[in-house]
Amino acid sequence: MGQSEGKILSGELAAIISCSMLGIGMLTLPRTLTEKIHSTDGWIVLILTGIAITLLLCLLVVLLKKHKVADYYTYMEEAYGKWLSKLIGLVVVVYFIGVASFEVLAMSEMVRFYLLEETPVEIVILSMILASVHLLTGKIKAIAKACVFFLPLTIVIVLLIYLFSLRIVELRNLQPVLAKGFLPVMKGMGSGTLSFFGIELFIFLFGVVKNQNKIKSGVLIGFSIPLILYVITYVLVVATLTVPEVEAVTLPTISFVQSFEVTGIFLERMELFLLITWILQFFLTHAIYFYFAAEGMTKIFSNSYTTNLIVLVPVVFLLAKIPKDITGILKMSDLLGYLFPVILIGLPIITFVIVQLKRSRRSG
Amino acid sequence: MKSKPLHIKLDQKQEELKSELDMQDDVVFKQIFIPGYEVSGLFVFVNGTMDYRSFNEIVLDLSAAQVETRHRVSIEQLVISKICSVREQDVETYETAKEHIFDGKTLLFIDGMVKGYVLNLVKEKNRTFGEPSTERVVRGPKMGFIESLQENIGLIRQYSNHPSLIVQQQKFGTMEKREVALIYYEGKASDSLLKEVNKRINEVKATDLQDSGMLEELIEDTALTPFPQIQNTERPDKVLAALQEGRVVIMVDGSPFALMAPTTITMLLQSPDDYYERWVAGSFLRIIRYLSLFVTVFLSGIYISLVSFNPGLLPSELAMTIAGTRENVPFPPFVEAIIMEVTIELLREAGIRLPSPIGQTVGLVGGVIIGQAAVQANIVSSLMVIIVSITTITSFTVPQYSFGLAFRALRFGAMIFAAVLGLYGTTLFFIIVISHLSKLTSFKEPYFQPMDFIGKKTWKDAFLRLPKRKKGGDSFGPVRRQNS
Repeated sequence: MGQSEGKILSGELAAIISCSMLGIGMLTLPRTLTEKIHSTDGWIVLILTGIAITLLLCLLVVLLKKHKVADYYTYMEEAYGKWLSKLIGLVVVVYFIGVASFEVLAMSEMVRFYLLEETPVEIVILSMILASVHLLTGKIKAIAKACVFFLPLTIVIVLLIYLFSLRIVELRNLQPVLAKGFLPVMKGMGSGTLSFFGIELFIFLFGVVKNQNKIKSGVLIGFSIPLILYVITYVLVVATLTVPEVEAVTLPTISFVQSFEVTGIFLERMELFLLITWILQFFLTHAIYFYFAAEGMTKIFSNSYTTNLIVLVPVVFLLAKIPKDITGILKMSDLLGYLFPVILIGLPIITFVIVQLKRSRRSG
Repeated sequence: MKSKPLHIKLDQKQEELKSELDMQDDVVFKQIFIPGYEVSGLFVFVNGTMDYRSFNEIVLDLSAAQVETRHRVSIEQLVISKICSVREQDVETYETAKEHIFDGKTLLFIDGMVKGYVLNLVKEKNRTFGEPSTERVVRGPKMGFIESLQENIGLIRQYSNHPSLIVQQQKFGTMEKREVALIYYEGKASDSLLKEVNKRINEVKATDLQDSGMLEELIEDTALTPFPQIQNTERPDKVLAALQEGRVVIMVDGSPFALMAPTTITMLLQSPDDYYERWVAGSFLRIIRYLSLFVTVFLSGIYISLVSFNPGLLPSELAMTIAGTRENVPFPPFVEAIIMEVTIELLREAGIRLPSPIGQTVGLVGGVIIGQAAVQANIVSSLMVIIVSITTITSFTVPQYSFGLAFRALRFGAMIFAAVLGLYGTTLFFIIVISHLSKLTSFKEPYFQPMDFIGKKTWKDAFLRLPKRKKGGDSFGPVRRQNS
């Protein structure tokens, strides 16, 4: 019952997954998808990818449940032995640190570009990292609450902004559907992985959910909220800005919101609200990955969680300082994009097979 | 001298007591003669603590006693029968006698008998029950607690006559002993909560308390927060509702404020008349309250960040208007805001301390005249005065005074963040406040529970106040708060 117990509800699991997915991905998604397929059919790609990932998620939940995984790190130890599992765990932690740095870096770029032109980026990055450390001392339960609070706020504000934009949306720009055939759509399936960052975290959350029977629905709801937002965003942005423009701008979603003004109410510029809600989402994504990095280190080195938090502050900060320009940032995201499918698909399935073999040999 | 036994002779007793209580001028010795038995008695008490009416009755009774020839009763039996209604216990030593005297009791000694009788003729000095001054409601009971613990408990018992309402009392303090009562419904308050409350109370038992506010600070979860983690109230109906919800109520003798634990943010933003008025009005007011909290903390910050960092995000006409009002103001928006906010806080504080007629004048003079003069002297812009007035008014809508204070203080934090980092800073401050709330606990239970807003059963009563279906009798099990 108490807060210190550290168990989360399935609703909170959904909120955590949604919040970890909604980050930089939503702002760049229209561009990354369109760059790949050069047509307006990205929404089909999104839906197909979504269905594929949904099926995969169902499979993973069944697999993890079958082995009654309470703690993924001990589960890995069972599969690979002590030292190899620690090594793999370290790779996973490095990936988490990478994503955490990347998100805070992307946010600082956004803030520098739209809000604070003269303030040094370091201050923005460091203040965000320290704010997340403040939240993280409350562990997973505090994160869950912050997610549950910010997620509905984000959804409502984003949908309101989109509602105001309907006047300038030209759905005709999306036609003709599948003009270039089905092949480019199939090719585009793998792109836009950046937008799906965050879904892999449910593997590590498996043990802390209070109601184990509702994990599947929690994960699927948590996955479908961002997916629906992505599809709406893609359709609206591409229909308004058209393909060549979407490919030209860095953050097409913000450019789209900037492209219209609402007259008659107090504020006519809607990007203000989008920027604020997205700072919240960047913060949450960053904080969640930061938490998993610190938590993973605690499991691997079996030392204190607070020490890890403090140690990770300079690490995350310095890592966020490495990319010098926008191409460096994109390279960083590509690098992380290679690790993402490994951690989401490869690692759990291989681990499952090995543990299954070991267990059946022991019993047989 | 320690626990010296009483003398038999009345004169010796009086001598001994008088010499020991040499410095105490308010201790009164009154001799009485019982003619029927031809013995004398001695009353000892502290002047002013006693109810003279009942004292007179006993004196009259005793002096009128005659020796019955048929059924002889001893003097001891006679005295006991006359004082039985107020008799508490007997004393054997001077030490205990002294304790009882200063406890406000009256001592009666009879010549020839060793022990003395302790009479409870205490007259409590109380004000009458009145309307609670800090929590007014438009509709609902107008009765508030007073400074007497026994009267307050009596009030609660009067409305809640269920036998499982448990009242546990214990003495607190070293110099002045004070009764502290722990009240809860057995079976409704969870065991873990009771254990925690008892543990914390026992840890601070040796403290002298003047008000329940002092106890609150000693038993709360953490001191490092602006938010009150324990709710206090003067209203019996709030206390009863809290008991029904399975919470624990702590009352201190001498304090009209009852403490209720555990507490959540949603509870602090509820007013009892939300439930007494129709649900539409109740829900509407609740939404207004949440909104005004946000406005209280962030409006000045948003103004500062928009004006000093991103005027481009405002509609161009509005930006022009703001620039127009700020044309002759020599200060940056942050300084301007700080000047006005500090002034308003000063006025408010001064208004509370002064007697009420003068307090109102100060409010009027300060608010209207200083504001007007400051604008005319071009020290602040007129828009700033409007914003400061709005944030001040909104900060008053919080039903719990101490909770409102927390947000008033936080406003300055938001302004500083806004002055340094603009809109990003304001958002960051919002994040920090929410993070802090997420971590906060009240008696180990979560303080801030956003799941309440979307939880299946709880959303109807968290953000809104939707109508309740007729309930078919409460089950008397432990109350489980949802989603915690």
